[in-house]
Amino acid sequence: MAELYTTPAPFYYDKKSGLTQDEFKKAIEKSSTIYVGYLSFYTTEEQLYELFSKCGEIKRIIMGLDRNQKTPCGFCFVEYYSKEDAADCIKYINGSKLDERLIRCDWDYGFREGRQYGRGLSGGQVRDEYRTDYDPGRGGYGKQRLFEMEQYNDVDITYQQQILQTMQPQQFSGKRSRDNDDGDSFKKQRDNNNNSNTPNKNRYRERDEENDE
Amino acid sequence: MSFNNNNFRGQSRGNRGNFNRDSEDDFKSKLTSLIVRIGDKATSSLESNIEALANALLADIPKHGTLIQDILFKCISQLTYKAPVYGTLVGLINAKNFEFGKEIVCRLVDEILSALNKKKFIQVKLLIKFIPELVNANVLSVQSIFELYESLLSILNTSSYTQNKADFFVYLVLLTIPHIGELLSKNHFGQISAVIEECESYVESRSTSDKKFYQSYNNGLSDDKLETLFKQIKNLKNDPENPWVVNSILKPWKNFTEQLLNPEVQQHILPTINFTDDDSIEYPQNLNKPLFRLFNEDQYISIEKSIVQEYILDILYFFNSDHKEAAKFIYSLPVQFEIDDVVVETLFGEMFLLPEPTFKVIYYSVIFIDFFKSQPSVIPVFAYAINLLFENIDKLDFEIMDRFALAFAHHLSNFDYKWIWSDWAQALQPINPENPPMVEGATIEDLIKLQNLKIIFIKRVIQSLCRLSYLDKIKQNLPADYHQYLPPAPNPNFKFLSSENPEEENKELVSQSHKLLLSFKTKEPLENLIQTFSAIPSSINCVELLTKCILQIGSTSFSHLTYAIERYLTLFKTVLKSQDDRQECLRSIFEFWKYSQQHIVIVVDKFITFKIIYPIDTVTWFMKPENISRFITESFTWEILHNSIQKTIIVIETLSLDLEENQSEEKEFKLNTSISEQQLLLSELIKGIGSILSNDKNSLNDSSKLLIAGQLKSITRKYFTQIKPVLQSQPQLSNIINQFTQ
Repeated sequence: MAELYTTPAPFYYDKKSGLTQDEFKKAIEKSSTIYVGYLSFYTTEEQLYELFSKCGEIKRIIMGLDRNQKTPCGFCFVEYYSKEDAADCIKYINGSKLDERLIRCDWDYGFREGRQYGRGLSGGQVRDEYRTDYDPGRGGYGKQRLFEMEQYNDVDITYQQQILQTMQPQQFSGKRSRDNDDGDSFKKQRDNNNNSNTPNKNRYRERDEENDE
Repeated sequence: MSFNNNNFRGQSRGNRGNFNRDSEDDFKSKLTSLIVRIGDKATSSLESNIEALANALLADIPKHGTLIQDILFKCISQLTYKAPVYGTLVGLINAKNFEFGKEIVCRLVDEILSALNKKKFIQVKLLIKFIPELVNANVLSVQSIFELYESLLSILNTSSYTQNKADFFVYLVLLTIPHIGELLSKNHFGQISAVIEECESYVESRSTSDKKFYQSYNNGLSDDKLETLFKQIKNLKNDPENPWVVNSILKPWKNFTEQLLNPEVQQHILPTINFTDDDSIEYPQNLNKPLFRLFNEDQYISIEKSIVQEYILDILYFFNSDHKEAAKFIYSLPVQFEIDDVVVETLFGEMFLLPEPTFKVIYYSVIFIDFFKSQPSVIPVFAYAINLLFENIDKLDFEIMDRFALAFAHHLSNFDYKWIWSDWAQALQPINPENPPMVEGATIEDLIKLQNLKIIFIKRVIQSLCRLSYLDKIKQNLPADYHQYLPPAPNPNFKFLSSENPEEENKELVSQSHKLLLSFKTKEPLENLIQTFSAIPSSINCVELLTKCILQIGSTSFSHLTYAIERYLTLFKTVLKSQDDRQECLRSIFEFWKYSQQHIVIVVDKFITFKIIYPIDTVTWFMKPENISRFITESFTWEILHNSIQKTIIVIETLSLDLEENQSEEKEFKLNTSISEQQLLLSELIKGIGSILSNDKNSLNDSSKLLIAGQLKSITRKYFTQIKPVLQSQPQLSNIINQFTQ
């Protein structure tokens, strides 16, 4: 009955899927794959398993990776064995929190090789290119903003830049401080390298190596 | 719904010159919206709205009669509290257009029977509740309601009926009474009393012996839905001050007596409803299960809260696709009193339903999250309920305790892990036998048992929190008293690589493992690897070597693991040859991931999916004497055992579907083999649990034994369909179940 009360979200169509609108619609109708967005870069597959298996048995999870760095860049695909479980995932998990962030879940037309990579200019997701907020779970400022700030460093500090500096948090590391001494054991587990800006590097296998057998 | 614009965004609908259809669609959606939303906010204008809508519809009926009926029945069968609103609406229309009233009455019967055939029992219930409202609105004669009662109760005079069916029919009768009791008590007191008596004799005679098996929270109140409703109807009838007054049901018809009772108005007669004798229909099973009760018995004397509870359940059902809308709708119910306690009790009741909740547990969990944001008045009641359940954790069924812990952890993960942890810290202090806390009627053993269970619960909550988040985060958010219950950091335990000097005998194993890992890295062809393995001296444990090395390259993430298993599956199949090998494989998994139970669960699951090990292997593994003391009381043990049973169920389902599509002897053989494998697993498991519980050698304390017995109960309940044939062929297993689950 809820459909009588709410206007359904407009149909989303991914032009880059290479499918026509009808094909796209059909693929979605058959699909049991969910696109998950707004994730923290630091969220792990284990956490995703724990949350998403509340809606049913998971066939596989594919982490979205930065095209260049090969590190998680804030999205993933969750494929269920059953369509019904995937539908429940959209109903229940969409808009709830994981790692203290509101995440979103959408139908996906099915994972294909190559789709695990971000489509943004810098390798990550497009939304991280133009973001102007400071988001510690997603690498701080957006890529454009970061670039602009680097440019400013060479010239005299303008008034605007002063404001920017006061806004910018002291340390350019995530909420999960990786330099904290208390967090040593956790660091080993969550992070296999010491660069605080590239989470979980090497934790994520590149898919393309599957082809070389 | 056709009025929802399903066109793609950006496509203008007018472009195709389809103006006529568009305006028709517009009309339809406008009409639908008017009919759907009437009575949404019960204000003083409800009556004038109904009158205005009736007049508007009267004008449209000649042209759009069928459409209006379609919409009306959709609303009547799904919008829980509005039966009186639609009843009055139809009454007002009927007063001026008798034909329409007649059509509605006839169609109502068809709708009821069709919903019943489709097993849409909640629709049936709402449609049946519409009948007394049509009587109130003078569309149907009073005699119609008694005819309805007669056809519903006639089932009790038949020779064979299932209890579920009879329960449902008697329940339908009782449900309608609050809608019409006031009217009937005036001129038909004898008749209605007779109906109530007939229900009473049924309710008293029915069997409720297996009720205890389905009780989620044993606080002394064990009435099921039918018993509760029956008692409340009796109280309603016998209320010394206001008999038959029900405030939670709207009565808009009272304002229209003049129009509705106009002598010119034609009453209709309800056609006889021939309820089918179709025995294949499985009727709802929830009427004879004890209701979840948070509060004292006197809270349940009046019917008002039960009516609201029923509204909430219907909303949860029909608004399942949009939990936010469900939450909103619940709090716009036209009720005069605070409903927070009913809301909290209903949601927990659904969450804790046995054997299975109506929807997935996470649904109720997200509704609570919605309420926390939109209805802060729920929060204190929620906290009260959580504390009450924690203090009485020994009264919860074990399966429910586990559901509770996981749902609570999920809830906390949505609210920054904040909880009044300090309130529970007291419960964790060791009990001093010299000076035990004074609790009335409780022995020191009871107190220790309760405390052990509280600790089991807290450990489960913390474990789940760590899985949803990460160890350090949870550690930061918990007071120091709780740190002892944190799980270890989930690191792999690959001793071949550790810097400590490996034992002498392992040296060769270590060097082999280095070689193997290197050939994985250089992507050595499979044939070469198989060759290498066959050349390894027999003194070396090949299964351990292979399993641990694969786990090592798969330890980075589950994707890596799946990839590694897929790639080297043939290798596993050549190296693992016997049941002992498979046990060795399990031992290696448990050793490698000894610091992460979550990994063990998922790795074992993957190994079973890829058929490297079999579901029954996990039973054999956990029933080994050395593993009983190590793992049997851990929650992940039961997670793995449940997963194994689920796997056998999925395999059988897939094979039967496949066989249905096209028959072949080979497929039939496969199916039969899988069924006997499943039966073997279940009988081994029940036997194993039985011997653990009757054997004192394992030195398990009382709480552990309770927990294992609770798991046996849970398995029996959950997989009863699968266990039934096993019990028929091996009656001694029934004795085990009866002995330990009563």
